Formats: sequence, structure tokens, C-alpha cells
Amino acid sequence: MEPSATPMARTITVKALARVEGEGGLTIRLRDGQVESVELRIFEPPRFFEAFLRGRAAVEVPDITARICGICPVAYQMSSIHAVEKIFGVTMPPELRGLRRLLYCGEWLESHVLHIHMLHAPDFLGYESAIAMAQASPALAEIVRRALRMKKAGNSIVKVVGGREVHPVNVRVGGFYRVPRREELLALVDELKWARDAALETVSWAATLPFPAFEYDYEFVAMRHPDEYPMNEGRVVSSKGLDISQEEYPDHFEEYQVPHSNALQARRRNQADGAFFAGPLARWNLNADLAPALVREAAAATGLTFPNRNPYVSIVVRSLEVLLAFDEALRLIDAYQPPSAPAVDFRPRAGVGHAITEAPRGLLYHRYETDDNGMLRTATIVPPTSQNQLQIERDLARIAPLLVTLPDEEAALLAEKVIRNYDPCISCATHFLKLKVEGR
Amino acid sequence: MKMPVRVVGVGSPNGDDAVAWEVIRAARALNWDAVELHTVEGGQRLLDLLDGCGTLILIDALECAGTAGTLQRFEWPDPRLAVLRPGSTHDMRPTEALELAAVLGLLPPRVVIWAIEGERFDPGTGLSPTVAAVVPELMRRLAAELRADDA
Repeated sequence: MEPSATPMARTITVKALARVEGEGGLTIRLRDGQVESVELRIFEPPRFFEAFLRGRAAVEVPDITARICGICPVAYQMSSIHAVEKIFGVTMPPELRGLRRLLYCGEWLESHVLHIHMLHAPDFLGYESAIAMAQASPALAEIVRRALRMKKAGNSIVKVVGGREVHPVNVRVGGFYRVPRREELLALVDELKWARDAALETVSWAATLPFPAFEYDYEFVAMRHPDEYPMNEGRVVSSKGLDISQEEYPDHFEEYQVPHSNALQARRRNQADGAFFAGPLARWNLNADLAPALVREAAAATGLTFPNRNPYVSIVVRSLEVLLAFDEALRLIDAYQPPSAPAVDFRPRAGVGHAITEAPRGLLYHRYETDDNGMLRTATIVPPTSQNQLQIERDLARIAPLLVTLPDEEAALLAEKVIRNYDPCISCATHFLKLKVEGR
Repeated sequence: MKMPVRVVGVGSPNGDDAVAWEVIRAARALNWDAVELHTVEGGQRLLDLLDGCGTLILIDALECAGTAGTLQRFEWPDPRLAVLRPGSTHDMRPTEALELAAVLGLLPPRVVIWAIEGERFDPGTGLSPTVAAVVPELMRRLAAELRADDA
């Protein structure tokens, strides 16, 4: 951090924002104590995925887009596959659909357990890292130990269903390359049952963390499915009345260029501001009624009010989604009967397909257009972090008046905490962070 | 029964960062007995590979101002490793993972780290000739390390 000050002006620069994925920076400009502008600068170079997908076979898309993110490759696979399957007219049999949901549970578990314990909890408890947190007391060390075991349980799902723990390779347009035998999934059950109990303890612990007062009238946006907590399917709904099909997404949301960032930002079309809030808190606020009773009871036992408008409460919601994902994984495994074939046949054809799935950190939109041979003419990918960037800037603008009252280092740490509520994956948005506060 | 030795190559496909993966690939062809071989991209995955092994041997490329192709051997804990620790992101550097595992009491009884100084780490560049030339020597030292561990 590089502070500088004159009687009327002040600059705070954080060389890198710790515990957020990617490369980026943040500048807050103040004039006479008032916020003039807040800019989330993404200076990680553009990665050109959308451009180099053009001309590739649509069936290659899941394996290419999975490389966009090491934390949420399944999300990229799922959104891309669904979009291509819509073009090719593929309908998933229930067994294969269930396996995809199971795979997604694995990814939510890996991502959420990591974020809760390694990245976010140290913020609340005032430690610089999970290592420092674990060193602070035997009780905290045990919580981190428990987290590592829970994450490993999530890994095991991705490995069995996805073929390997990192960048899974087993999903394809039409289904899977290989489906697991029932015994392979049953072998996971004992550990998943332990992990579900551990997740209940995690919810209780997360709810005891100190949440700063930070409520705001956000527009929460998430998917909504008639029968299940959303992962792979559903309409796009919001806390302010939006209810659209996935195909209508481009009519209501747009990506646009901002001069200070290499990443596009997304906003609601035809709205005065356009900022909206995607991710676990939005999902829970809009879908809590669809969670299993076990999870709803755990939420009620926290004593917190839901729907909740405090982004810091996202850590509790992530822990609820961890509980949900373990419970859902056990249900899916119990019901699993291997399908007769690992994939359904399809014939490539020309068309346009849109698909949205719920990545751990929010909506992930893909759109593809193919020619008669199933080759990609165009590709559009709107990652969750692009969608949340404007909202992050708005949150930072709200705390900017407080930031200037704090010592520089504390100001930087507070800004980082606000950003981490969104678990931004800047690499996915092209996309990590230096903080600069300028007062004039 | 003796606990297995686990050899983990940390790296990426980018330039000399791939050297540890190349070592693991070469080791797989040798079918070493009671030796598990793994490749990972970062420290988070390393944390998943600590259970049930007596000795963990970590191989990683090193980006520093030294001479490319230089081999360095560390035995955990080693104060020189602390300088390798960066600010964390969604992943951890291997040394951070080892430090966390040490705090949590999850480290195997013996942890050895072989580091190879690289000269280029850009995507698409492949191993530099200097670093590629060191792989056979590292394989010999690794084999000697395993024989000594077995003794």
C-alpha cells in the first residue's frame, strides 16, 4: 500500500487485493470528502475466448470453456453444453440430468468451502490469512481442518462424475463420455454423510461471525426453477419483478465497455443505474422455499432474517448452499440408476442457443450460433463477476465516505472485505486488484 | 507396513513451469514400486494429497534471479522457503499449503522439496533447453532419494 496525503487530498493504493482470483485494481476518487467516482479496474489482459471459439466445432466448446476458470470449470461446461444442446435439439434423460446436477454440487462444494474458510472468514475475524486464523486457536484450527475434509468430499464427487478433480473432462454435448457405476457413487456416501453433518456445524459457526450493518435495496437476480433449488435450469428472476426466459437475457441485460477496465461490465438494460446483485445471496433470497427442509431449518436456526439484504451475510448463505449441496448429492446418489447409454445421439445443425446456469458466484450466460455443420459462428460469454462488477463499485461508493475516516491500511482492508462478499473470480471476467483512493 | 512415498509435481503448461509435470511423466514410465505420482496446479490440490504418506516429495519450478537450470533441495521446514510465499488468491503457493498443513498438524513426517530454477514462464513457450537438460539429473537424484528413503 502506498499512502500519500496533502491537507485536501489523499491517495491509498493497494498493490494487490489478497484472496481474490485474478488481476485487477480499484480506484476511489473523492472531492471534498464526497465520492466522485469508483472504478473497479481489471487489468488482467483479455483472454479472447469468445474470439477463438469462432470456427471451432460446437462439441469442443465444453472442454475449451472449462479452461476459463480453475475454480468453476463445471459451470462453464454446463452453460456451454446446455446452449449447444438447445441448438441441436438434445433433451437430457433424467438420469443424465441428475448426474450433471451431482457434478455441479461437487463444484459448489469445492468453491464455497474454499471461499468461506480460506478467503472470507479471515476477513470477519481479523486475520490476514487462513494460516494466521488456524494458528490463532485450536478451535479455529479444527474448523479449517474440517473445511479441508469437506472440500475433499466435494472433490471426490467431481472426480467420480467429472473424470478428474480439476478441469473435469467427462461431460460432453449429449451427456457424458462415461457414466459412473452405482458402486462408485455409493463409495462416496459415508464421507458425504459426515460432510453434511459438518456443514450443519459450519452454518452455525458462520452465523456467529460479526456482520457489519450494510443493508441496501439491491436488485437480486438469480435463476428460478419450479421444483428445485437452481443450478442448471430455470428462468431468470429478480427481487424487483423480472421474470424472463434464458433466451430473453440479452433483451434485459447488456455488456458494455468501461475505459478503466479490460473486462466488460454487465448491467440491466433501460434502468437508471443498472447495477444488480447475482450469486449465493440472490439465489437464496429468491429460492429459499425450494431448499430441502434440513437447509431451511438450519437457516431459521441462525436467527438471521431472510430474505436478507446485507452482502456480508453471503458467507452464511454459502454455508447453507454447502449444506444443500451435500444433502442434494446424497439424494441424487441414492436415486441413481446408471442410464443405458452415457449420451444421447444428436445431429449438428444451424441455430442459436442461449443457456444460463448458476455458477458458485452467480449467473453464467453463454450464447452460441452455429452453421449447418455445427461449427461456431459466434460466441458470447457473460461471467458472474462481470455481472457483479457494477454492484461492487456501487457498494464501494457507499463505504467511501467511511474509508476516508480510517487509517489507510484499515481503509484498504475494509474495501477488500466488501469486494470479497461477491467472491469475484476476476480471471473469469478476463479478468485482480490494486486499490487506489484519491481525494481532491 | 511402510507408508508410501508420494511425489507431487506442481506446475502448469507454461514454459519452464511445466518441468515438474515433465519429471512426473518421466517417472511414470519407470513404474517405481510403492511410489505414488501426482501432478497439481497449485497448493490447494496439494492439501488433498497429504493423507497417508510417509514422505512427500514436492517438485516445483522456481522463478527467481538465480541461474536457470539450477537444482535446489529443501527439507521442510526451511527458513529459505518463507521468501517464496506470495499474497494468496483463490489458490495457494505450495509453500503456503505446506505452512497451513504444518499449522493443522497434517504434514507427512518428511517433506522434501526439489526446486528447479526456470528462465521462461510464458504460455506456449515450452520447456527451455536449459531446464529440459536438467530433467535427467533430477530423475537420478530423485531415484537416489527414493532408495535412501526405502533403506
